[in-house]
Amino acid sequence: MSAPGLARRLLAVGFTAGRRAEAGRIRFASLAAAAAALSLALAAVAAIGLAQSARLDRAGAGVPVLADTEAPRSDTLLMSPAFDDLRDGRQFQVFYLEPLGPGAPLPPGLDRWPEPGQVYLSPRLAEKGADEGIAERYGEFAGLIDPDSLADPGEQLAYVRSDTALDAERASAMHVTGFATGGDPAHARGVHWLAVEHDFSVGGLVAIALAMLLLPAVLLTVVAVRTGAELRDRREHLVTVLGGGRRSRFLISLGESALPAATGAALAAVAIGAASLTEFHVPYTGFVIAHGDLLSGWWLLAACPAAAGAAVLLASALLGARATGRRSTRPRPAWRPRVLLAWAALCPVFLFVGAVVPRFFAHTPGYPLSNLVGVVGVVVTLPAAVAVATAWCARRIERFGRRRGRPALLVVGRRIAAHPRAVARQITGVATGAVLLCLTLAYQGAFSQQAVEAERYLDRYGYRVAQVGANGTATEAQTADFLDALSGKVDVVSVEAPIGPEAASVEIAGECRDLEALGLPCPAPGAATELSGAVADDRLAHWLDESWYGDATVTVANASPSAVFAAADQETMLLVFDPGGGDVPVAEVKSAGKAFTMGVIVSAPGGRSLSAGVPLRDQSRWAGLFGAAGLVLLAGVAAVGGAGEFIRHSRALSPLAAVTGGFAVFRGMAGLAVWTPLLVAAVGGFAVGVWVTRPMTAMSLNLVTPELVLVCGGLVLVVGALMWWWAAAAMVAEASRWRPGRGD
Amino acid sequence: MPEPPPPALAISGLSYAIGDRVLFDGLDLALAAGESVSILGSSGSGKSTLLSMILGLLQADSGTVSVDGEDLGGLGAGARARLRARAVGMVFQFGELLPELSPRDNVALAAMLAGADTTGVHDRAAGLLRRLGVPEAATVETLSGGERQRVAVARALVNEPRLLLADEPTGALDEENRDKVAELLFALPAERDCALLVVTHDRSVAYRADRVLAITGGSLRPAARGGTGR
Ligand SMILES: Nc1ncnc2c1ncn2[C@@H]1O[C@H](COP(=O)(O)OP(=O)(O)OP(=O)(O)O)[C@@H](O)[C@H]1O
Ligand SMILES: [Mg+2]
Repeated sequence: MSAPGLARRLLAVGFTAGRRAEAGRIRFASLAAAAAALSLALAAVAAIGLAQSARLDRAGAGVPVLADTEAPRSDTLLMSPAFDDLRDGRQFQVFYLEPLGPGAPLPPGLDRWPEPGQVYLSPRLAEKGADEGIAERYGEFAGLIDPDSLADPGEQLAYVRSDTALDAERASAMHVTGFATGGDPAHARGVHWLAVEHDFSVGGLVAIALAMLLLPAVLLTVVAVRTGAELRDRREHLVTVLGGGRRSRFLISLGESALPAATGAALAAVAIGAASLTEFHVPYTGFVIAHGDLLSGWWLLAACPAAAGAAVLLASALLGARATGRRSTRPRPAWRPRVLLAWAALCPVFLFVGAVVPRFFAHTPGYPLSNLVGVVGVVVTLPAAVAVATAWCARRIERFGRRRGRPALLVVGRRIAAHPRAVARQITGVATGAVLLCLTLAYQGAFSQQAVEAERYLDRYGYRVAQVGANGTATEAQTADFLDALSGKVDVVSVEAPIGPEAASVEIAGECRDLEALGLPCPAPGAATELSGAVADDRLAHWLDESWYGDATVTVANASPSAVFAAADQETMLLVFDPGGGDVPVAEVKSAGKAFTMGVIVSAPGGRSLSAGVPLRDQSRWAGLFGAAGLVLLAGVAAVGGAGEFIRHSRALSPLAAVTGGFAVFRGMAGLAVWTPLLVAAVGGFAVGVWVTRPMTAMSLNLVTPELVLVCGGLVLVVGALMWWWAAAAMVAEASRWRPGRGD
Repeated sequence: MPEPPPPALAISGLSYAIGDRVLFDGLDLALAAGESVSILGSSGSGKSTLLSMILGLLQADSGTVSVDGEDLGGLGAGARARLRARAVGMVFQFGELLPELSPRDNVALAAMLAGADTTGVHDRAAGLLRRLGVPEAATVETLSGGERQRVAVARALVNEPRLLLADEPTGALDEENRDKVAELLFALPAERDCALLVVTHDRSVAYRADRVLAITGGSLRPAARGGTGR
């Protein structure tokens, strides 16, 4: 036969063999799942790159070209940014616009000038702010900013054309003669600067995708190749005996894995295609990839399933042959219980060092240091501890099964006690994944200290008192309009407190009605009295505490807050209270703020703002998403590996089970061999993970939430239960087909 | 006067065809406790198929198979399995032991899987193994082929079956071990008051039985042994 003819025959032999329903199709499904997971992991990395480069291109197009001294005024746009946020605390920018002449450049995303007082909002801002009345907050809503100009569909952005002249002298005001194409997207004056600033570092995201998606997918491939491979091994052996060389075995392997690898890659390709053709909402993170961003790199995305399919094929052909060879010749490395025991004993020590010892070093560098030492130690010694514990438990289970006459416990316990490595590896894989997920989130949360304090503060006090300042200048008339808009809805006083080295003195000015509402004395109009004794209203007392540690001398004046507010500079602000003692209606206050040229800024006492930590909190969702996906993959690796081992070793039981009718033993065995390791790994991994990161999460934003732990742990158990059921069904089916004299 | 115990195995009028190939055509066999029978037959004559029917894993076209007085045809799959677990023990050609388990656990396992009362099963297993001359071992992996097959025999006996089946029980053994195992096997019916049915190619094994039969023309006839016909 000619060489190509023979090659084709060998491929066909493998292909036919691959279509046999070996081991209840677990092998087929595992290979397909590996190909799909590998495709999706590669595609995720590619998509991060594609989406990011497209975003940066658009963000770069929002960088203004600033006017030099010669630029004619008529070609200039005066643009002044302010910050605002919605209830979720995520900051966004509001750009106040004033075209100084007919030649002024339109900012990106607008196709016509808004009329004075009109507002354009980005679609996401309009949607998310709907229940806070965002459309009326800055003026009259005139339309949406063109989403194609936004960095991404999730960007929050507002353009407002003020109906009064902007303050050209304001430090942040820009004289713009045009918008660059290809500017530096992170340029602090760019329109999309904040959206880019809020990003997770792309390097970090790629690193997370590699560690949490690609690595588990590779592991799944390695395990899938060896799952349900007995027939395949026999076939290879036979081919070798019949004089077939490496090349023949390689070709048969290729043929055997071709269909599952192609199926998995094709399914993934369909999913990737569907995601590319739409505006893809990345689940859980709230991030939206703009339509077309992925399509622009379709060739790169198309290469992912192709590469993944090829990788699975190669792994199957190469790893299969090598593993078979190893089994027959090289002995396994010796099991050294002494060394292993020593390592295992260190694990609880490190756990203690990481979780308990930091308490004794509170507020010193010893705190993070001892935690870090403990964490690293736990991760390093965990495999040994798991191996020792596995072997120990297996012996207990074996003994229990023997004593109580439970065949599944006896057989699987004995099996694991004799060969604890495989199960220990499964448990370690998933448990380490869980610990690392907790660690990633804990470190992520540790950076957002500020936000936590703010969030805690708001939890306790809400906005029971809000500080209000104007963005830019405020006239008395504007302030009066602002107060009119709020009249009857809130109590307002102005506070003036000179900043400087001298002892703090605070002057509170307000109408009698508002002063009395706060339990303050009301002097004669125009007069002021110094307050002696404690402040009666606990909200005001709290504000004084937060701002001045209670040390300020307080003067109360009967005067219109609008006059005081407009006359003074930044040292003056308005304090707003809810008359009923509840939360201040922040959205309404902000909406009334359109009385000022550039709106108001509302903050909690002490100038606290949630905003700083919000991007971190949102970014942590990426770690959560990829981490959960990776953990499910690791669970898949462990479950597929466990099912493979189970099927390999329970075959010998088929005849006996068939004769005695004791098929139920397979269900018990599969549960113990496939599901229990995952249960132990999920419970143990998260227990260790939560405990060892407690010193970090106790002091900062706790992203390792019970919900996250429950969902991730639950997913692991579901994956395990699925494989349990599948492996048991496969063995029951196989044993029911047993007949005497068939020799297998 | 007490009723005589039912035969351990009674087959009557068994017919079975695969396609247009008639394997059994009115096959009869009665086997009482304490009795042994060997079935010889050329390859493909239907020996394994007959075993499948005795085990109730395969249904004949017509005729009845009763084990310990119960007609398998009248039982559902679950009841057949329970009858099998209670009344039938089987020795497989390759032993089919679990390599990690000790001989004793391998034997006890059969009782556990049969759902039998397992109190004292380990002592029973140990007694059987001692009786069959199997040395104590941590796993059956270290045993010789003959010792392993004796473990398989002990396992078939642990549920005290009325009917003991053996499918090529010596097929994987060398001559010396073959003789030892065969001797032991054919001593069992008298010793344990059970019936023994051995399927084998090996004439020297077969002729240790009380009766030697062969499947010819779809029914069981006494095997020809140098002119010893009917
Ligand atoms: N499910 C089936 N479908 C088709 N033919 C079958 C089936 N099962 C058995 N046969 C055929 O029935 C015949 C008897 O098979 P059986 O396995 O009982 O033979 P045997 O006497 O045990 O042979 P050996 O001594 O080689 O083990 C054989 O020709 C076999 O090919
Ligand atoms: Mg046969």
